[in-house]
Amino acid sequence: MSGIFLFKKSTRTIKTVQGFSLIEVMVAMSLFSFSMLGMVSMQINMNRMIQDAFQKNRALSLAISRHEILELARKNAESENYLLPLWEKELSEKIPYVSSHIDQETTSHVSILWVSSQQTVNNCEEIVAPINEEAPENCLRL
Amino acid sequence: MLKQKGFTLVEILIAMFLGSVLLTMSTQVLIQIAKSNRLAHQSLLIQETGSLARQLLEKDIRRAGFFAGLKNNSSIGGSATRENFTPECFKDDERFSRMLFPSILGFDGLPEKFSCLDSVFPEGDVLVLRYLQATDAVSSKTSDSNKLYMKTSLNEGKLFKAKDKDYYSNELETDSNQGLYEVKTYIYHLRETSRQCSGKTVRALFREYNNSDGFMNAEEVVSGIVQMQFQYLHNGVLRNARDLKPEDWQAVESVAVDLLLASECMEDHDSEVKAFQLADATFQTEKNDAYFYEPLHFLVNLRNRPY
Repeated sequence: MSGIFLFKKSTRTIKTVQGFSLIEVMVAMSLFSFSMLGMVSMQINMNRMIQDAFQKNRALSLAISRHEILELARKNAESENYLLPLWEKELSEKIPYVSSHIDQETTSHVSILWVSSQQTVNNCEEIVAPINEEAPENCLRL
Repeated sequence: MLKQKGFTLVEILIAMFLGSVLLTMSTQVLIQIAKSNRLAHQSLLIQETGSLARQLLEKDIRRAGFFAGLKNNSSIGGSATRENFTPECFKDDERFSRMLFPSILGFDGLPEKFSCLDSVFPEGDVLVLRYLQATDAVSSKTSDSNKLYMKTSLNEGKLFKAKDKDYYSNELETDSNQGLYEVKTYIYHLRETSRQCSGKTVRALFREYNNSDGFMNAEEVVSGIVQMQFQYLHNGVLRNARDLKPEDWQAVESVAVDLLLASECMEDHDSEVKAFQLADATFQTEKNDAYFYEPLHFLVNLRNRPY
């Protein structure tokens, strides 16, 4: 609207067209709005990544506690019978977990799989290296 | 007359209107970004607080009870007398460092006799840990003259202060397997600091340690912890300190630590009333309480238990 109005007025008084054309204004505004959208999406992404990191941190803490319970279990099974339900309760309260697993052969690895914004793996036990460059976002194996 | 070209009033008004709309939009976006950056910063700080507190507590709980093979009933002599534990005020009493056993001892809240401590948060638990830490030589600095050391060989120990290291009474009868150690005592508890934020006193984890002068000295170790509870694994069950008899402490296998971490200052975010259950304590947030909270729970096994 405003573009047409400006154009008419300027043709009546002076012959040359000065100012921006509608296309120019629209291109500029779309560029501006795209950059704004980009910033917003970057922000949303960052928040999600922070949430993921938070969750991974909790999972790490739980995995370390699970190792302590495993160590106690080597001395007597009593403590494990008592502590394991408590640990599982904490796990279900703190992270949206799917499953947890202990390597039966070695009992030296604890793996925890949970629901995350980036669902990279469906099975945590297959990950061979616990720490690698492309560590999955929703699984921890310690 | 000079012919002037420029914008008409209407053009200016429209341009200003459009400009202000864009400016408002971008300001809103920037404010949002700044806010979420602050929140991200706070959540990272909380995680940092948690991992620091965990590292400190874990290290000392694991080592608690390391006495190089010496037990409660071993013969411990030397020029510094070993004291039996009495829960007296230790603030101005250097005997506290010489009460070697029990090597782990907890209190539910602040015990009456410990109330000589200034501005301790009375509802938080208190944990006393003791162990020996290997060292190469007795310090010869004059400031360390009252520092506590222990020489050990198998079943015999000599407890002495740095200034008395050459006394004959501090020599071990056997030369085999001699070890030299510093005697470490730590007391973990929560205290209110002198700092304030959002009108509230900031709480922090403090640690009392036996300094080179032989007395216990307090140092602030991690800020931003509002509640701390301990439970102890004894005979396969987690118990609170009040449920353990004095002789039970030497058989504690593991410590369950419950921390409630909080941002030092209130943050601009939607808050609701929440309750956190930490062992036998409940922490209820207030209505307009806009702190960030994160509970942290972990289990630490003691390495040196007589089995």
